[in-house]
Amino acid sequence: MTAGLHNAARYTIWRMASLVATLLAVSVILFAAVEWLPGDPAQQILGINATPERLDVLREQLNLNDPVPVRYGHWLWSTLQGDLGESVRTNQSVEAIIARPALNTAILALVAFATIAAVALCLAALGGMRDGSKTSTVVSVTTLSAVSVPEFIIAGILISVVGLELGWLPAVSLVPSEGTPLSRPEILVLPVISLSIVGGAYGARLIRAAVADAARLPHVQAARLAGLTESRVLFRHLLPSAVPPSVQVLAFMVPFLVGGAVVVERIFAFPGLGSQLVDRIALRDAPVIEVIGLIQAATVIVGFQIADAVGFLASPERRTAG
Amino acid sequence: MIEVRDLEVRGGLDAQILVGVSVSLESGRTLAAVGGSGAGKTTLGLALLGFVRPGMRKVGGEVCFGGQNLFELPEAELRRLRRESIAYLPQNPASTLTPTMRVEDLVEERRLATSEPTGQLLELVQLPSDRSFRRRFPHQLSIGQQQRVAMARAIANQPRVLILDEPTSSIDPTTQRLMLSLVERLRDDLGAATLLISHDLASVARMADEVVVLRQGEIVERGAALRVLHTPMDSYSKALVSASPDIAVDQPPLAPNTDEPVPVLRAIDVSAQFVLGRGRGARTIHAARNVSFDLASGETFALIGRSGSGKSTIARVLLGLHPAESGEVLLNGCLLPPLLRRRDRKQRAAIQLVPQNPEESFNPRRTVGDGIRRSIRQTRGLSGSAATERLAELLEQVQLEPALARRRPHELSGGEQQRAAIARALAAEPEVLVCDEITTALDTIVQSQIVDLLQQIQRETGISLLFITHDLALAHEFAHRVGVLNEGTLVEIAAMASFVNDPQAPESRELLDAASSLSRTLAARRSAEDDLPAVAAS
Repeated sequence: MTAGLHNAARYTIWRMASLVATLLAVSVILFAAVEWLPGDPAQQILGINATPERLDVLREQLNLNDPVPVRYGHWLWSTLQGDLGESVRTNQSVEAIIARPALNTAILALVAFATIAAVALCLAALGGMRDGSKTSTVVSVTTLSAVSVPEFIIAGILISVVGLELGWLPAVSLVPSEGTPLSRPEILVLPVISLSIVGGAYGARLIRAAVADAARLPHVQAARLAGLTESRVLFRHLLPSAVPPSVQVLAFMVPFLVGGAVVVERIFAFPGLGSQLVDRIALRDAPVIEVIGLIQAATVIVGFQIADAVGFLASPERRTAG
Repeated sequence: MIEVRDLEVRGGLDAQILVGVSVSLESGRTLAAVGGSGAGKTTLGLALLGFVRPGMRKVGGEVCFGGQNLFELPEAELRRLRRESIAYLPQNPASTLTPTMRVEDLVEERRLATSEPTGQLLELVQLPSDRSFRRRFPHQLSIGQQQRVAMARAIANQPRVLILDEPTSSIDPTTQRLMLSLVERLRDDLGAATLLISHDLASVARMADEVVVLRQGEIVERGAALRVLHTPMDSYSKALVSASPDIAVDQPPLAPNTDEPVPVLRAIDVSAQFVLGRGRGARTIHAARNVSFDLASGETFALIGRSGSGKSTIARVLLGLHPAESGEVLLNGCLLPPLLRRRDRKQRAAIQLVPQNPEESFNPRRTVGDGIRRSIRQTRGLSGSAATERLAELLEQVQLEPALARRRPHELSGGEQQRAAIARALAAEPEVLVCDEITTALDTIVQSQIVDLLQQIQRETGISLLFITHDLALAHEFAHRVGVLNEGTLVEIAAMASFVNDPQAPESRELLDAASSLSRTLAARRSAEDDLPAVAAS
């Protein structure tokens, strides 16, 4: 027992340290990448007719003349102190710009993640439990078709049929100006369905393979030959062995939902973080891009850390190793 | 109790797995199914559970238990039957334990309302029953403890039918005795019927009342165990019995290889260790402690010991795959560099390995011929038609059909794979062949063929063999000398003939007592049965 606790503590400390290190590395890459975006921010802000003198003044104001490492240091220092800076285009604080989109995306991503996890796990258990059975084939074929259709087509069909033709749900997912998506939950339905069809099918395929592998393990066969009930075989003998690979698959849904949902956000005109990021890249609004990038990276990293931790807890062998 | 009638099972491409097999298991009796690999023994055992492995199907016949055909029972009924009346212990019992479940849950889930409590079941298999042990996971147990937990699971439902599939192949003698006593207990208390699947005829002779001999899915002989094993009628049964290694059968004395033995390979005071685990829990295992022995030219030296006694580590040190902590290895009187990458081509070629699992040692995507040819090129520098010629010679030497060399490893039988692995080792024209448990995966008939082959090669080429095995009875058939390893220490080195008659170290005596002997077991059972009427009369 103490060995287990000791292990868990060591594991947690090590994980936190690696989380911080990864975020720092990401911040460097992000800063450098934005730096190397083509075009001069001062020129973009002032337009092509700006005089060289005005450009110089603005460059001085934006500290663009300092060397890149110095500016990175300044940026990192103020970010660590909670000052995210302000947009170079509108002089609004970055916080104000990203607060609403971040909340919108968080809500959409959470709802979609829960749906994807439920869909993927159920389909995977159905399809993987008895490899080669009829159910297994049906699950395979269905998920393969769902994965191969691009999400903008799925979203498009949903909009035209459910939104416009039948009029059951709003075709556009505008968030009310005072409030969150939860104050009009119906706007979430079609985006969540679009994301879940693609993500759920993709996850189901990968997790199905993990479940099918686990079903072939000798202890699962032994449990069947011991005449245990199918639910006991499934929940006590089979699925626990499939947990670590499955949570890894689910962790891959985090980048898909946090950054990759931009296509769905755009189609439904949903004001999320992905859309905001694309807009800001077009405007070359470095402070906003950097913060959004960092938020997305942090979410993804935390997602994988949670997956690793669940995998660790689900495996007695690793948990109790000396 | 349970009856199999005219069972016919087919596999892929309609291959016959079982043909018209009928056996009947009687209450309180043990039936043994013996035969080589591919004889259909396991398929028969699983059929008693109403189960046919994926890729196979039942074409005809029935398995009747309590008046019902298992193959016609609804799923739920079949489950209930397996749960309440039948127990199956497969070849590797430890693999049946679910790694995410604790010992107590593993035993508990197999118990019925009438069974002994879990603690008592654990004590029956001679395991501790305290809380801390019951809360352990399988990986926190030794392999022997895992096997015992699997046995506790098997007896937890008080089965009336017990199916043991090659129970002794992975189990040490102490655990074997325990298993035997558990089987007897189930038989006496509950009148259980037992099916014993085995290729180890000595253990069959000890446990079985009747025997069926299976060959390629057909029963070629059946009868009382003592009769079949003592005077088999069928030619295949005869081959099985004569191929079974027997420590008590005197071997014709082996001709001394040379008048004055010249050591080819000398290990002097070799010590080696490795570290198991990581961090705080890491343990250093002393796999070899000051091990010294000579291997003479043309000699077979058997290195014997239980699993974990350090046999393989010593082989790895000789091959340059594991660094020795101290000590020296001499080849023809010259010091060998400890690590393979520091040895020159000649030194590498001189010592060759035949591995335990030949299939894994060949590239699965290439033909075995390619694998042998690669060794020819790397060790002898031959290519093109010279290599092809050499390949043909080698295949002839190991008696492998040339056509088989064009197949991939998984398309060969176990014996053919092992022949190919020997050919690959011989390609280097070595002076020493290190054979590490090379017959463990083979059935006895193929095993004796491989041993004959090695002896023939030795006669022809004068090669030296280091034969590593846990099977003393097998080694005793053809090794000139024997070395007994116990926890990394070589406790005895002796000529085989004198060793068998007069072992010196206590560990040697133990090994000798545990060594399989069909004749001795048969004799013991006969005298036990002869005694019975005498006791009754008095």
